[in-house]
Amino acid sequence: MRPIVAALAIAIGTLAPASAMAESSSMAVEHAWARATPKAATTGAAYVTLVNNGTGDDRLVGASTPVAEKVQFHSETNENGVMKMRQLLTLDVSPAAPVVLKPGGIHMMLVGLKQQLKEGQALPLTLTFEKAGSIGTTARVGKIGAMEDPDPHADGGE
Amino acid sequence: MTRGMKWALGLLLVFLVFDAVALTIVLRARRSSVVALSGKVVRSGTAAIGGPFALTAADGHTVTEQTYRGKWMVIYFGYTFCPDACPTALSNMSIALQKLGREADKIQPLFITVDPKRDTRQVMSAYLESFDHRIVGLVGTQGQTDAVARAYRVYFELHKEGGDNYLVDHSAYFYLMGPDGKFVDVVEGATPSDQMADQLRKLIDEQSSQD
Repeated sequence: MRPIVAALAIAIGTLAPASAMAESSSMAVEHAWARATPKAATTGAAYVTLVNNGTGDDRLVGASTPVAEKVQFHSETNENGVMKMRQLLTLDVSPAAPVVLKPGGIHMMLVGLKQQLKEGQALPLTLTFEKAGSIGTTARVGKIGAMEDPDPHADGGE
Repeated sequence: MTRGMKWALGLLLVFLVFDAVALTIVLRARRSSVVALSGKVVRSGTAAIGGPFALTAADGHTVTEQTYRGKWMVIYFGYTFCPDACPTALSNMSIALQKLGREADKIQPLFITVDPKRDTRQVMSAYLESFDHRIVGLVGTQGQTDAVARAYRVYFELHKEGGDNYLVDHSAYFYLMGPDGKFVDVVEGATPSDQMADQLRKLIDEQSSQD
């Protein structure tokens, strides 16, 4: 009995990385941008487009930036004229469709801003995916209340 | 069964019926207060939106519903901790005011915080420096805030589960009040500034031509 269990364990052990490799997602983080923040604001918002060029599903599990204490993912819905924000712990990114974070929709909330974000600044942002690991990018800071990437033609990921 | 027991049972039944009726009334009332906010419903009715309020402007002035009589009040209820919807609304309003040119002189935009615990006068005043300076920020005590929200049928709910970083569900509209203080219409905060300026101009012109 014992050898069978051992064999099984080894088999599963070798399978796991193999399957991970087969599904290794090549994740592209595009159109990273943020909004300038009003004076005295302790929160900010940043947006990205996530494109999963791999074959398997992946999941955004965390994000960070040196200018904020933490970064949360929020959904935003307008129900009967009431804006509701809810925290999302993770964001699924399937190869089927890019996930677009945008004003009025899913956004990254920068909580505990250490400085005011000003138009034209470049904000370092690190996104962590379950499979693709950590990906660093730079978010362009647009105007306060901007509705889109200040430079939509720039290459987002690099 | 003794007479006493029958009597007690009867009484219990009466109480149960009373509870059921009371609960239904309370639930109905709650539901209608939330539904009351879908824009079109509000407009078609003679719903008494608005009313007396007393709040404090960033400079310490007391502002009531009488302060801006003769002007169109455009009121937004929000909070400075809000990262997405409120900056969108306030920046749309700022640009719309510029686009309205001289017509904007007839308007008094107000930003009332629904989060007076975090939004002190100082915070509000610094925050609004980043938007059109005609927007006046108003702060109240919790009681004053609840009262103005009730008067304007503004829905807001604090979600304290996030600790100090709590979020607030809140109405996403600008409330447009005529020069007589009466409610005229709502304009959604996410309306692009061009459209917002047009909408405001149209509403103001329509109403002035009726007078």
